[in-house]
Amino acid sequence: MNAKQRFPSAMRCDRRMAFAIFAAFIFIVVTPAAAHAYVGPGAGFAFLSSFLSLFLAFVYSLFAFLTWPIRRIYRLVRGFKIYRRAKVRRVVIAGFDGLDPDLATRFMQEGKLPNFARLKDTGTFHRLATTCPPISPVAWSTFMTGVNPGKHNIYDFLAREPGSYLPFLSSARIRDVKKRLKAGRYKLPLGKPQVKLLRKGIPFWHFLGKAGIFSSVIRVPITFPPEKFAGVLLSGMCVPDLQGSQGTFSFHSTRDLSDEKPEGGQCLRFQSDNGRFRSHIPGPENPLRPDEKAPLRVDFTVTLDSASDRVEIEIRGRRFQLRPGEYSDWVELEFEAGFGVRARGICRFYLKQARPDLEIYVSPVNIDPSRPALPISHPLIYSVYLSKLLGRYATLGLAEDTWALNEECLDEEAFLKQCYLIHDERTRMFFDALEKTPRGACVCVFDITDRVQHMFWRFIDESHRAENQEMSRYQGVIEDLYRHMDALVGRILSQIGNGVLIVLSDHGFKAFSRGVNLNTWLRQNGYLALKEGFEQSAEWFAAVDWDRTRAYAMGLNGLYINQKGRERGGIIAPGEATRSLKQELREKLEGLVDRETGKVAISRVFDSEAVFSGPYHENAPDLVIGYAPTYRAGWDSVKGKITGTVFEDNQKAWSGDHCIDPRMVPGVLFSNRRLECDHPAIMDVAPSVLDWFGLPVPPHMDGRPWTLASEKV
Amino acid sequence: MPELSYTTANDGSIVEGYPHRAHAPQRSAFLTLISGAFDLFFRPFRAANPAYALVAISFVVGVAAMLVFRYASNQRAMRRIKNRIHAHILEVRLFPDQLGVVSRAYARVVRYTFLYLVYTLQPLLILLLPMLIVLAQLNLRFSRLPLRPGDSFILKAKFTHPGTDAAASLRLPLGLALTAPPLHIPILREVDWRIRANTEGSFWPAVMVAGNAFTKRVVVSSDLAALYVKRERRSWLNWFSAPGERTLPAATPLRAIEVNYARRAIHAGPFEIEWWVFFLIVAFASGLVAKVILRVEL
Repeated sequence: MNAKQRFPSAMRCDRRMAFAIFAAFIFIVVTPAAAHAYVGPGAGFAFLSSFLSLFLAFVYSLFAFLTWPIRRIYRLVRGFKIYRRAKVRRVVIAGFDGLDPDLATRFMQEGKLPNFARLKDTGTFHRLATTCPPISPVAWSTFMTGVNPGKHNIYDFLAREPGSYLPFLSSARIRDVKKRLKAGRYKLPLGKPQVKLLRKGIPFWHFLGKAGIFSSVIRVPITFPPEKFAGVLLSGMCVPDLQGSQGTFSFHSTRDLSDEKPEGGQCLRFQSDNGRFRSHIPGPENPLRPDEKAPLRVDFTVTLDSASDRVEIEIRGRRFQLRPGEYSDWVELEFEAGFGVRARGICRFYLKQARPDLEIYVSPVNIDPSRPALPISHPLIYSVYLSKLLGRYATLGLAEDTWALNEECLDEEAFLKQCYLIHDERTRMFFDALEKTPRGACVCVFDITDRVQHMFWRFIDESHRAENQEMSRYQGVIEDLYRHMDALVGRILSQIGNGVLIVLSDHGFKAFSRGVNLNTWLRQNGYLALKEGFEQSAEWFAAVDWDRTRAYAMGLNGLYINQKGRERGGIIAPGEATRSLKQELREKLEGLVDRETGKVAISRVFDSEAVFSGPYHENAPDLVIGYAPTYRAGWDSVKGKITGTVFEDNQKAWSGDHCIDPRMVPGVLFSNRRLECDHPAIMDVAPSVLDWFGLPVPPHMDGRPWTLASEKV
Repeated sequence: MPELSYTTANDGSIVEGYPHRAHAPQRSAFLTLISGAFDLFFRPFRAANPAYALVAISFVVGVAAMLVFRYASNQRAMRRIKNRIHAHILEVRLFPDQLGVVSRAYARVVRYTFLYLVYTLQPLLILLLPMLIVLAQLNLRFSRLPLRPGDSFILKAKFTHPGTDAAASLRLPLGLALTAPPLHIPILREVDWRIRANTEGSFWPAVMVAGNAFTKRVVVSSDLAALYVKRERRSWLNWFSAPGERTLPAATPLRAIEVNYARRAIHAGPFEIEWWVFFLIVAFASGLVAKVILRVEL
């Protein structure tokens, strides 16, 4: 999929601005003033620029002022009943992805989280039941729609194509343009590529909008591409980078890196040239030349300061300096495709070290929010607005580069710095949304809690087998993170007034020290067969003999029956045969023991027919594996690889996880109001918000609203 | 009043003489240099369509103005302020139902626009003087057409006191000829002579008042040339507007001597436009190009 073909809207703003400048220019020319009043083009530009701003602002505001009473009356009449019946005027939901109830409780007891403790003591604190499986895209989809995954169609980050056994991103699909005009070596796209949201179900803010209640929604996962509704929204998790991937960094070094092929990134060697070092940032494929294998690129050069470790980076005529351990600001990149077509993105540079080897990390190329190549917000100008107001910001769904740390292209310090840089951007966006939403719903998801716990859990968990030499240095990182989030809660409380505050997480966290290669287990137990002569298989079941395979595992928790009539090479008949095979597998897998540690690796296997209901339950895995704490799907198994061992140590920095038995990793629910709820679940949030605003809860929702007590903190 | 004398030059023109050089009004050496530089710049375009010369100078001015903005202004601050202005304009569009937000946004737009103007002040001040000089020089060359052989024109002498015009007379060099008797307009304290240009060249007809001669340069040419419509007494304005011609002495009975050159229009395709409109368009266009290439924040 070419990136630029998917970016038809990139030039709209430019055209409008050019037209506005042209119109203003014509206006000035046809109404000439005395020539001596003019002091040159500089003054003309300055005047025009400020005049245009003033003029547009004036027209907008005049229109807003003039029509405000009419609109206000209309909305008052329309919304009068809503707000009269509403129990609340404003609901603020701060989603802290992965905030763990056990850790929160411990830190509250130790007096380290005074604001959370205040909410607990005078409002609400509960464990919040998560989804099955407890994976962020699944849980947040349930959060916003109030339904089980069988109704929103998201079961994992990846879904599988039964016709090919290959994976695809479960949340969105980007289709290339169908027709092209051939012009020499170029193939010009005729039409726009389509971006389709695969998540089903209706988020609660759509119901609010229809009733005339405004919502601001910031970075909630699985909101890409953004849907239209009465409010503003910035898409979150699953927004791709400019290459169309979920984040591909590049690492540049003077060392020979030809043997290194890091997961989620690319290693490139600097070319030395008279004391300067040259490299390039790989971009998307050329949208005008889809057959060309080499992607577009932007070259840059690095000059080392001989007196210090400082380097100067020059890229597209811009220069900036970096010291070791320092990130650059967001750098604007333009990938030229030809015919004036450009793909625009932004990235940050990080100087890992200048000597003895020069090593520079370049973040994945994010979509530029000020000129979005793909729609990442609703309305489209919302991302532009945030960019103009707060400066450029990360737009990639998984912006914190966990793979770069896993692959040691970033160290812990650099990763943390990156996480907090992104978190600061998010915080500023959130407080702006809070200011702009005096009535209605304001929802924001903060990812830092998830990413940092994934990568730093090894420093608080002694059972983790990864090398842990810097234990003392990073032992306090997660505690600091919780304190940081506590301070954020305090700040929200000070600004929320009479509103209802909900702080929740989609799941908790546990250690991930052992991986289970389920496909290997299936093979060893006769459920999965390899082609003749193969003892192992590469990614995505390359060597699997489907004619002899009864079951296979893909993704973080999914196990599928190779069913006749559904999978291309299916051999198990649907109905009783499938049911009995599922039962057989459940019996064998539940209580599976890791002989090396003597621990149970899988505590529960969930039958999809029992846990999912709805029009899309057929797309669900047939079985959902509930791993026991400290276990998770092995890295190879997730990608459909078949290796020699079932159990293996997790040696990666990614040492905390939650893709296990959902009963083991509930999330948290805090509120500044007392909520009457027994066993609250994340699917209750959507119906609760609707109920608080006095709207009827749609019957298709599986969640049940919580009763709101009147007292507040 | 300094004593003046005049002599006849080889070509028959009458030349003013100043026996007391200390009192003689001098041309600014700086402006002479500038005029010389412009003459040099326009030399290749002398016989061409003046639109080409104007395109060239407009392009240079547009690019130069961008360079001044690029290096004399705080580009980072201007970018930040412009972004804020855009953000608050978008705010009005995004949150139109909230009067508080709209009001605050508008107030902030005004505030940041003012701040933006403050930031543009420094480069504007730097540009002000050079631009005045450039415009004056261009005005000299492009606002009027030189006389052609056979053309008739009016030479006006304007006096300070009533009655002084009665004794005024005109001496013409070879190449110029009177075509009608002088016209005295006492109410305007003015005498007009209708003259015909017979040959190409620069001529200095002299207005004789009380035995003193006051010359005015008259250009008869088909090439691009700097044309001074009016010779006046010294003032700030004509320091810019007529840098190439000496001012009239302060204590003379003459206020000004004028030549009514015809106005020039620049032909741009099917349109005939004023030179400064043409200059604006080309300077803007080249400025826009330079802005993109030089990444100038404006």
